[in-house]
Amino acid sequence: MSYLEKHIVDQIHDLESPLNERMTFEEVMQRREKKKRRLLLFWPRIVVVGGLFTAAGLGYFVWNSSHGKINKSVVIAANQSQQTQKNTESKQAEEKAQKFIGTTTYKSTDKTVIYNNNIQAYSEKQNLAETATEILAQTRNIIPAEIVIDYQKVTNSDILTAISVVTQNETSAINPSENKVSNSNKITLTGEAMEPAEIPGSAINKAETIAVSVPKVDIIPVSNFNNEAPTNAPVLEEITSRITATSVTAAEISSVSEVEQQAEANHWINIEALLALTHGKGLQMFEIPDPLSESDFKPVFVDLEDEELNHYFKPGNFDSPYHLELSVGTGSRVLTNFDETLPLSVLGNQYNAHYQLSVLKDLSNGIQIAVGASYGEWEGNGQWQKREWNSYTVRDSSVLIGFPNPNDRQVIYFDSTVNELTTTQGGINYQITKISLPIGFRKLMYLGKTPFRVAMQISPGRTIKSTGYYFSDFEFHSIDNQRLTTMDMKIALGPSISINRNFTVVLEPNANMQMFHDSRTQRVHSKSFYGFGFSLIRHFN
Amino acid sequence: MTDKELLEGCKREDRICQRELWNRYSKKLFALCQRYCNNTEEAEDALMESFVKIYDNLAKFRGDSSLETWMRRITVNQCINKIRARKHVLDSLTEEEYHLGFDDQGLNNLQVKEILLLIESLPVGYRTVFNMYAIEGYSHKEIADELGIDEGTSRSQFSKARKALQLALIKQNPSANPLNSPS
Repeated sequence: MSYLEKHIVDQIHDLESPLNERMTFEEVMQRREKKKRRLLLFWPRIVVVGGLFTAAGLGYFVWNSSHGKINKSVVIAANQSQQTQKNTESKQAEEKAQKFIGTTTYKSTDKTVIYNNNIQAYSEKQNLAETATEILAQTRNIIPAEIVIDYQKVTNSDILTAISVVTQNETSAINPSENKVSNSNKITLTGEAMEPAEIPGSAINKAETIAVSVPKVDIIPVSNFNNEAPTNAPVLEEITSRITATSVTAAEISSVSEVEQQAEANHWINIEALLALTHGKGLQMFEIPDPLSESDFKPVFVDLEDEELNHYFKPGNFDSPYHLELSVGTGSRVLTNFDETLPLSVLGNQYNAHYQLSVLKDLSNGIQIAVGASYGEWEGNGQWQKREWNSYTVRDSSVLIGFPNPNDRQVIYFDSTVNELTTTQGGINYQITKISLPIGFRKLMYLGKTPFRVAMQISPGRTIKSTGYYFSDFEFHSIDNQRLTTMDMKIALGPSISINRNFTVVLEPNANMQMFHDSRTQRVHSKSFYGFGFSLIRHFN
Repeated sequence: MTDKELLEGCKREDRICQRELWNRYSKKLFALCQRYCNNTEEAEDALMESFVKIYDNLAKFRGDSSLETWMRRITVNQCINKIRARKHVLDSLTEEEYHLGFDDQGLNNLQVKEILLLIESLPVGYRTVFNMYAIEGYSHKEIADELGIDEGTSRSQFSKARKALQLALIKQNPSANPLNSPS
């Protein structure tokens, strides 16, 4: 039985209202045509939007792979003689965690001089890093210069002009390693000297050494030794017939000696010293901010067919100003190449995912404040590579020259500096599980007729679990069993899609930065990620 | 031209039939839109969009009901969308109003014009549910589905709408208040 009597209902149904001049059949047909055009372009526009996001993602990936490591801090080779002994326990733990993969050694006979660097300091950190990069690159690319000289016949005068001579008496008084033979040609050192990083606790001596390449220097071959020599001249002893000449100036001899002595003590600085160097005075990490340019999210206006979806995104449309948001977000960062300019570099995949429950409250103008709780996981799996350049001097040959006067006997030593590159690789991984309390803002808006939402938030928190070795592009260290204070930041922009009156889904391409404070090293580590997520919002009427 | 011929012509996209459909039903449906919408502009917009939908979906019309009933359904849905976009669908009465006794049978004694004026005076939430239930003949379940609310909410909204109408009747005619009757 109806509430109103049937004749009343029929009368109401038969009521007519006059139309005004704006309401015409032609106007309806125009609207219909316009709607058809919008529908026709809907999918192409969706494809364009998807293509833009994909292109942005791929572009970032390519850019990150090829340029991502530029301007990172550079580690300078350090004096090895005064390193602090590593704690045995931590060393064992490190060995256990770092899965050893293999070691390759490249030995060259490049003529490289170990150059004492305590000449002048650079105040500009950037200059320091660039110079170190350049010098290390030169060291690596040096072309072997092997000069073979036949010393069968050498005159006394030629020797004096061509090479430095150490008398027999002098050789007995000095360190054999200092008995370098050099010619009199000027040698110009390439590269710049630099001041090493200051090591906390004087773990490493300030008198650091760096590898500097030296251009090839021709040694003048001498001949006609017998022309002016006395007939009873002592026999010229040739220890080797083929030698590899060494080009060093007298000024470098002492420096070479230092390195030789230190080489015995230690071949390379350990990881702790390396990290200390990278973050000591004069050397900083140069993190490249990965800018989220506007072009990455260039809006493409998509017309949805009806405005019936629109009202869901206006906060005022709901009785309750409160909304419940369940969101999931992911991010990744991938490094595919080792940085061959660094003594220590790391590659690998790093991911993060977080699950968040928030309460949103409408403020005004489509702005909402969000407070909630989040659970997140952050993992990394990769490899590290350590490149060690060890330099040492080898005695190639020596020549004893005899004269009538026994006191005039002379010995010529021919030495070479050998650079040895040892590359070691290993596996590495870490895992951080954390909870945090995000607080942020949401801004609801329209781009064209498409509802979008911008989300920004920060999330302070603590780790539940941290294991393994955290790594960045050029370092790693243990984070085992630590309670780390964390801070995450996220910004997301994406379209809102209404499911029904009560639920809305927001797609959220996002950029997020994960940070934690390491209580052991007293440093803050951060990493930026790009990824995708979505939010499901429950409205209350 | 019968409704059936009109329907077939519209399905063929015959412009003459489409125009005839407009001429035949636009004024009735505009009256319906005005009952639901708060202002003329909103009603006009709802009517235009309703006809766009009607023309687009005539091919899907199966003839389970009359063409007019089917068109009224589409128009009501369009009006509901308009209301949703504007403000809350549901409103509430004060406690004082809720406990007021009433006899809404007096509504049937009024002229249609008076009834429409009373309906127009209702808050939009009540008016929507009342229009759908009492005039369009929707069930509470259908109303709940259309508005995205519970069936119980629809019932309570309709009940409140009746009370509001009775209140309005009493204000117009105090003798309609049963508390004032001699018995």
